[in-house]
Amino acid sequence: MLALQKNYFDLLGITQRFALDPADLERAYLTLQQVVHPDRFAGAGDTQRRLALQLAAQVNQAHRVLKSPASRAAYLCELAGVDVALESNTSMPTEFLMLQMDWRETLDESTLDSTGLAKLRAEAQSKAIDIQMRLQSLIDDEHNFTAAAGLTRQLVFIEKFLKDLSQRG
Amino acid sequence: MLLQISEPGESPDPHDRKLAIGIDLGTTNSLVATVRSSISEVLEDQHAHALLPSVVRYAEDGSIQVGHEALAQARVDPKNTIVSVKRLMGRALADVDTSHLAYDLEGSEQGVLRLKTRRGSLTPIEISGEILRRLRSIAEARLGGEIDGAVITVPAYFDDSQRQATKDAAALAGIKVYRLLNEPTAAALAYGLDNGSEGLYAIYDLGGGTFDVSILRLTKGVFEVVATGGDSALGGDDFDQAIVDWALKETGFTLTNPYDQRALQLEARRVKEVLSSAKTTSFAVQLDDASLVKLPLSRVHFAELTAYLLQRTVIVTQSVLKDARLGAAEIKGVVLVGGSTRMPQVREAVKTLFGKEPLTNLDPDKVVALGAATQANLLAGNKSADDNWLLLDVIPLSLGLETYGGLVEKLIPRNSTIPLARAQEFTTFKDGQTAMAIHVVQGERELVNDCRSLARFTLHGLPPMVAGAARIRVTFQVDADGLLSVTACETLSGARAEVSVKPSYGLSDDEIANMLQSAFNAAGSDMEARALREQQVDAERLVEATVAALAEDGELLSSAEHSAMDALVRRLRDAATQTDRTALQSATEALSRGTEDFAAQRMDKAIARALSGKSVKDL
Repeated sequence: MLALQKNYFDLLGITQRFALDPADLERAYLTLQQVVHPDRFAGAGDTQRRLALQLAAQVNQAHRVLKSPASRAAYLCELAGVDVALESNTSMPTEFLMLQMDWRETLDESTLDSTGLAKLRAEAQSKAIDIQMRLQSLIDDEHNFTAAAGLTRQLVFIEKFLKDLSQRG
Repeated sequence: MLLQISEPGESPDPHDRKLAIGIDLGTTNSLVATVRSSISEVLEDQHAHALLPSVVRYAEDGSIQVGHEALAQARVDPKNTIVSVKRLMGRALADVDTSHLAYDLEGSEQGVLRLKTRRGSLTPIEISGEILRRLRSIAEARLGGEIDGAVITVPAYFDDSQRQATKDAAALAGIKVYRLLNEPTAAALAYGLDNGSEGLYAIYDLGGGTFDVSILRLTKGVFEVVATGGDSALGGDDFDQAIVDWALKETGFTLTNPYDQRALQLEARRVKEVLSSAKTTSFAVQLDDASLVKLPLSRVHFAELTAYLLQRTVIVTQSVLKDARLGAAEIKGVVLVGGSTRMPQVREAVKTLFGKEPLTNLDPDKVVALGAATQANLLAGNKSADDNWLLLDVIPLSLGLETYGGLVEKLIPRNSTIPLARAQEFTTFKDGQTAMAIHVVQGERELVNDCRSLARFTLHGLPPMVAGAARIRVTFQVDADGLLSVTACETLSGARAEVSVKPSYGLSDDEIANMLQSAFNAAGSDMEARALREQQVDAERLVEATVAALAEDGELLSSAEHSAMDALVRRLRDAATQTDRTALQSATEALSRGTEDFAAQRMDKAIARALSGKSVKDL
């Protein structure tokens, strides 16, 4: 099958599952860019240059999507025919919503010092790891993509929160 | 080369080597460099000057002076002697602080700013084109032949309009641009290849008018930009201006004419440079009315006067570290680039910021041009066995779209690796709507008005449907030069929407073509003949590459496919010896199209080979 039509896992030659060694992803990514990057085709005809441009963009996109656990999970759900519906579906378990609000409030507190910030980060990171482990068994072992989609939405929230948090400290 | 991919083959025969140059088009000085006998070197002009002052003068006799000659007249003819034109590239009148400029500026409808000179009203693109033209002729004189193409560096923080303006200036100078390369990335390339470095490096690049900081990860020949940031209106010029402002305040003088303004700026620059080696000096200018401005200035006092400028670079650097999710201690080395990093207070600030002595073993004025030459050599196909490296750069500013209420929806975040493509779906909001306007902006702020307007697109020819039914897929592509292009189609009907582009701050293709035509007329050369020659060279290259590809991977084709391709090759080879440009064009396109599937198959083969090579290594 032509490289442009492959899914991101096949394109990068990586097994299609949630569990992923980041070092494997980086190695495959750099190996592939060495081959497809437009700089390798500077003297080639327009057709080849265009193809290289498309492929290099595709490889960058594959790398980006597979690198983040949340987008990797969403992509795996999508490949299994389950729409994570990040834009339209914002329903969350009450417990998770309460946790979210709690974190946001803490982050907005004017008295939050660097120790408090570090504690908040550690808490969010530990929750993210917890969700990732559940996603791994839901996707890789149980193939329960409907349940995985719900958890993926939570993980997206946490990743966004961690990003906002890193802009603070 | 058609898919000449993984083998780090030998360097082509000397007579096949293409003359390729790297150009550092700086605010204050510009340089041109090339690779000779595997060594990157700066090419000097006939007076053995490596640095060409980025100054253009339109003289009384109609001649155009560039460089030292122009700089010498900067004081006596300020309105016709343009310095630091880079700060005006891709800018609208509203973007520029005109109070410190000696020229008469005017805006035009499209937002492109123009300078009134005795040669008429000129765009910064045309003025930069003169500098590039001079660099090209220095290179051609030194290398004894016509150059094939160039890598031109731009500040990493340049936005799309500034990049496009630079590319347009090269077109006016008759230079084929292999690639626009970010200045800090070029410096990292020169530094990293020179020292065999591995690990995380920061490039702190303070030039005459722009500031960039980039963090790169160097691993086994891959130069990967992790994050970049900067300020495209902060550089040595601002340090000069701080001295001028101080001198005026101390003496109570007010500026009444452009001659004095220019004189004070030139003296400020001199004083700044002296203070890099001396502890004290004096600022002395005789004004037009014969009055004398004379003040002592110490290094310590100068540092105090400019501390706020340095602080801006510190804030940018800290936020780039944050974007890269790195602490200063994780950076292995900091490379200083740009003449302004010679100021002792800059070195001190960088040292404090990173907790280590910055690396200064390469000339900060030359390192960018040397890196650009190395990349140009590779892109020209002059490969040698050790040219196995690859640059992966990023987009410096987020790309977004205008949504309701003047808000920006970010589509591509800053620091995304290029090239990249991202698609977004839109729908209509009126029944029977057949057109849709899209406004693309660049920047980090949430309001459209606070971002840079790049272009407005109108999609025409949408099939009429009820509101919300159409699915318009708009694809934004950023190429390896960091330049944006847009395509769109309606996915339900498959109708391709036309995209009409109106750059917010650029010249249209027609304007460029007209300027090019008049430049050719002025030079008395034949544009038609040049275009034919270029087309012939391209055709010969395509033939060569196809023949090589067929020899290597011909077994991927059936014998019928093989002979069809042979016929296309013969047709193009014949056409390349004739002077019919239309026939040549169509033969080139026919071969290009005919090799499309073959190229894709070869690419797959190369990918499979590369990935399996990886797993073998892992065992």
